Amino acid sequence: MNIIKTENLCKDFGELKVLKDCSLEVAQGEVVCIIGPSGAGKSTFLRSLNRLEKITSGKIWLNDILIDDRKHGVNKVQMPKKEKEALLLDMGMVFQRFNLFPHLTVLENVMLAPVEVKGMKKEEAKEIAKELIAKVGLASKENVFPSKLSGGQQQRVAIARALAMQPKVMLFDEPTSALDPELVGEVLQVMKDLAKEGMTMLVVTHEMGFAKEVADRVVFMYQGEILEVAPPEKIFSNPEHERTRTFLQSVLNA
Amino acid sequence: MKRVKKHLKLWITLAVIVVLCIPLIALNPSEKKLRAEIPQDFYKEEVKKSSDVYKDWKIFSTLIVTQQISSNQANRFYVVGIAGNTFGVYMDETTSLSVGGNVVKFVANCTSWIPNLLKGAEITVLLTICSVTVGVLLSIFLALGKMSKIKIIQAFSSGYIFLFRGTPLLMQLFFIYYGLPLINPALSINDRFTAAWIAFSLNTAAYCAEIIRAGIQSIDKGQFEAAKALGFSYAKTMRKIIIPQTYRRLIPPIANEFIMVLKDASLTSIIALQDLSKVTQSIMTSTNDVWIYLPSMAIYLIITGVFTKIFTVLEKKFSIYE
Repeated sequence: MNIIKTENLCKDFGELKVLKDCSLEVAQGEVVCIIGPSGAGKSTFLRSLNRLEKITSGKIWLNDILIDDRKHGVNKVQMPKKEKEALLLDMGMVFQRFNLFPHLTVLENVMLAPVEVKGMKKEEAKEIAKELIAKVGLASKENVFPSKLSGGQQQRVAIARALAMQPKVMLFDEPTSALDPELVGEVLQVMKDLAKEGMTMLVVTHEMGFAKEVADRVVFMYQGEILEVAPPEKIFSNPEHERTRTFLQSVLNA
Repeated sequence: MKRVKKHLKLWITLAVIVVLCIPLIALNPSEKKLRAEIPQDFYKEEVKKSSDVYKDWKIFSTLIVTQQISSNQANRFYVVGIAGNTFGVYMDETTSLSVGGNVVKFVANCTSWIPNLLKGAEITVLLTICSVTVGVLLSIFLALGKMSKIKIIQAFSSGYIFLFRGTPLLMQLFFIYYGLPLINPALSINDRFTAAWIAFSLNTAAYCAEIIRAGIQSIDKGQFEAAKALGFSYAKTMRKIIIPQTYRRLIPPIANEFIMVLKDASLTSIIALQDLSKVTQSIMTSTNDVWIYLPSMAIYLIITGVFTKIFTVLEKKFSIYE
């Protein structure tokens, strides 16, 4: 079963083609890392899955249900809004810049969406939130405001916040790019734990070590295209494309 | 916080000192002038004599001792002073004989003015609070309207703001109180306060709408994205995530607007609402005493001082998370 499937995803910003016919399938339990030089369209690809960007044309399936079939920006799929929103809730998203709600404490950040969006009872949401916060190792910081946390801690809270909606797949948009080098490890550790538990993950990253260790497949994107999809052993040792090779050389030698 | 407290006290002290000092310096007539103003024969016969003329000593106001000079009921004079310093001479307890008045007269006048001024101040403050409250509530919808993607709503909000910001408040007030009944008697608003309230609310809503729009647009885009990714609807994103974050940023400009409205409330004198300015002006015209402006302005200063303090406390309260 594919949790996410895309076919010929295209996205134009006027003349500029940001995504060109991107097709990808992500099976349940799979960890897929997307790598590539900046400006390759990695983030746009991830964000268009979550409706943060509108695609120009192409098809998107979630849980094998077609939710987007666009041509010239018009969606041909007729689906009740509620049903579509419920499907989109299966995707949790973690941003490069954390985007925690600064006016709420850690606990409130994690609780808010389950209570407000899912209509969960406060007590129940609180319990789940506490569990998740403990899971990312911040049990002692429950009642602290995000501004009092380090970047790594904030990102871990952001992960807990996304998990609180009990998604089937987690999208990570360069989760460690905004962090000080010494804080990257703690976030990656949480993500590794998550992968071990069998969470389906789609990760845009520059952490080649993480991709090598955790990913089931690695996607290499270049100038809006998916050039190569292969298991990490293959892509890191013997990539098919010359572009992939030069990119990896420049990244790994840096 | 402590620094703000210090400053506030400083301002209030300064206001009080100004109120007390100006009449002291400006009004205290020299003894020479006083003598000139007391009828010569009276001065010779009564004042120039010795202290045995000064009969009934009595406490006049709480501060000053008056000395009753003449025993003749029809022609009674009071000399007012402390410790040998003469401040003024009176025909009776309130009518001054000396031109230009003096400290005692000022203090005495204040005691009779202040109750009236406070009644006016009450209307001014009430009108300001009511108008800004309604105005801010209206302005939230106007601000969201102006950012709306729906063309009609967007056009309405922009038009509203353009109209009410672009025309004088005085004219809007005029139109609502005097103009509407002429168009249709059913539209007449008999209560002056209500008319002023409506005009001020509509006007301040236009200004606050732009303040709130700027506040919302100053929130990081990532907040909208995070909310969307978590499945929040637009309304809930605004209510639970965006607007609470704007509070702290909105308070300084809203406080500004509040103080502007407080002073603009003096415009209501054109519809004869008895606000602080109108009361001051009436006293001025009836007594011809310019010093009425001093206590009046002092009351304005005290009101603004108190509200500035309240807004500072609110701002502090809403910025705990930073």
